[in-house]
Amino acid sequence: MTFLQIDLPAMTLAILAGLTAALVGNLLILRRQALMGDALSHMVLPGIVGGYVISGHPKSWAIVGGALLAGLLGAGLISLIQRLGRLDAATAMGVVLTTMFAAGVLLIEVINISGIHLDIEHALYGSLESVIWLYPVGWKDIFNPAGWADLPREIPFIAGTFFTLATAFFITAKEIRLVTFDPSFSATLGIPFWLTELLINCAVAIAVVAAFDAVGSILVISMLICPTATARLITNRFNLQIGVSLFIAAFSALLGYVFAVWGAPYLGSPGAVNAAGGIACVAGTILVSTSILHVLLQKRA
Amino acid sequence: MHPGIFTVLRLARLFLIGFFAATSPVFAAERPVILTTIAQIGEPLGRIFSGCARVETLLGTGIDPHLYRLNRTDVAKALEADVIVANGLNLEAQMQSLFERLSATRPVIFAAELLSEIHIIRPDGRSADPHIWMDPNLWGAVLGKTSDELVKIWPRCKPTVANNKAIVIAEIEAVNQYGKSRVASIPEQARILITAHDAFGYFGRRYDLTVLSVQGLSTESEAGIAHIRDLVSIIADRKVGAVFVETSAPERSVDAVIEGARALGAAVEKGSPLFSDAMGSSNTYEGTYVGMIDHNITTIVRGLGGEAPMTGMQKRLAVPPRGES
Repeated sequence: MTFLQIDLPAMTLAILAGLTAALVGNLLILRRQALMGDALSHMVLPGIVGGYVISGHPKSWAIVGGALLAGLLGAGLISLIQRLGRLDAATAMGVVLTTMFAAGVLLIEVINISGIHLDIEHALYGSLESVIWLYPVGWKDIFNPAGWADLPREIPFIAGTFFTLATAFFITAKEIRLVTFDPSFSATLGIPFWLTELLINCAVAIAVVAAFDAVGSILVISMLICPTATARLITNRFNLQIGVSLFIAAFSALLGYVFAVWGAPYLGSPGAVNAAGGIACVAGTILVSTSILHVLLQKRA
Repeated sequence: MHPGIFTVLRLARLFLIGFFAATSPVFAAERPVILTTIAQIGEPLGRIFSGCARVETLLGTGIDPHLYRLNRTDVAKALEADVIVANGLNLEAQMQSLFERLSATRPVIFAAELLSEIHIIRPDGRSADPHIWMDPNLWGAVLGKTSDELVKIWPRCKPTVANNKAIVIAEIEAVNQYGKSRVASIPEQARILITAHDAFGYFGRRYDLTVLSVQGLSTESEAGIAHIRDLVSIIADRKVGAVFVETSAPERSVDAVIEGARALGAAVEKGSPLFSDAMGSSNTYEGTYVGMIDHNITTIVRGLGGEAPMTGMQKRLAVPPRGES
């Protein structure tokens, strides 16, 4: 049954990746670092090239590892530049992302890997569509543990990332709120600002690069920003904002998938369109319509 | 009630019908289905297996494998296929994990990887250049080996395939001989093929052309100034007649090279676009494998000052190569 084999795993992964990205997005947007997802997608280039040089293969663990290292290095550099140069986060990110991307391009030229197809989206970025689960033929097979071993590795991987992050978030919620909303007060309490900054940036880098590998960059970048931005328009309360953003992330993942796969043919597409693109469009549409509604309601009030 | 609500309901119903239509089990066709990735495999293989298996191609008309993104319709096609034939050598890197998963329940054949190692070009000593189809002689061998693998799976196809294979491979060999004799008409010092990106390594090796690229292969890289200066002086010194563009690569760096060479007094033209990764539209001669190679050979030979009929080997090329018009 193709629904169970193609769509169920893809939808599950889309929702899990959306939840992970939205959770991280709450940290980023409150700390005015919405650019982080985009920055990471460029900063990983030198890591990918390095991983390729080591493994000699355009699809390997060395490339994921290289990307992770480059992401961590970039996150560290952003914290450093922000602190030493007393610059705001967006400036630091802008500087680091262009420098590291340029370094990656130079590296490609220096090691002269012409003759090879090293397109980053193929080397690192995964896609929802390749996540198929051949085991189930009927609904009851889903619950058969024998088939779980066949489950695409992306699903347990992203589920693990999400639950680890959610737990860390839950445990350190108080500190995160302090550092986010009142950094100078947190400093007087003896929580060094740079350390939390660095830890948060590193956690973000790990989560985002892991999500790139599983579902690709478009889905992750849009889910980092859109659900949280929408939730901010709806509420100012921190806990509620997180809840609303997670709900919107899961909802756009589901609706976007349905739109890309079963909706697009009604709009004249010869077949399904890329699901990550559909999900990003739906998340963006939800944000825009909420903004318009927000303005209209404010005018009335 | 608002009349709009009916439209909404009707759309919702259409949606649900589509949903269940898409999820209902598909009945296996009587003939086995071979799904190929690129048309360079799919089109000739379809002729070889005509009457015995249905050959479908994922990357249809004008789709560049670098830019292709998977979608659910194509995944469903792959899931229904009895055998999948891909080029391999990492051409389809974005589909690799899908192929790995599908190979649990059906054969996945990497056609180019059936060749023995001595034929493969590895520019950096490790990674393979996947554009084997640029060499018709090698590609004939690839198609032959692939057909043999498929006949092992369906022995009853053997007689049809043996017959068709001979015809198709003879045609490919004819275009190969055409290439050999036409390239020989290019002045020897001008046998330099300069293209926008590095897809013509196998072509150059087969026909003894020096292949240089303006851009390198990666989409992230850009032409360095020193590299452009080198190309410009080569064009001027060796009187190279044309620099070629491809449909999939940007033309700006090619323009820079041409302008530089003209400033040195070289009479160099921008050759008409070559087919590198994507073939022409289906239902045209350029949309067949032989037609694509015929187009490339004819365009290159005429651009570099050799002799070749404007309409190519089979007198079927639609667009006369530029520089003549």
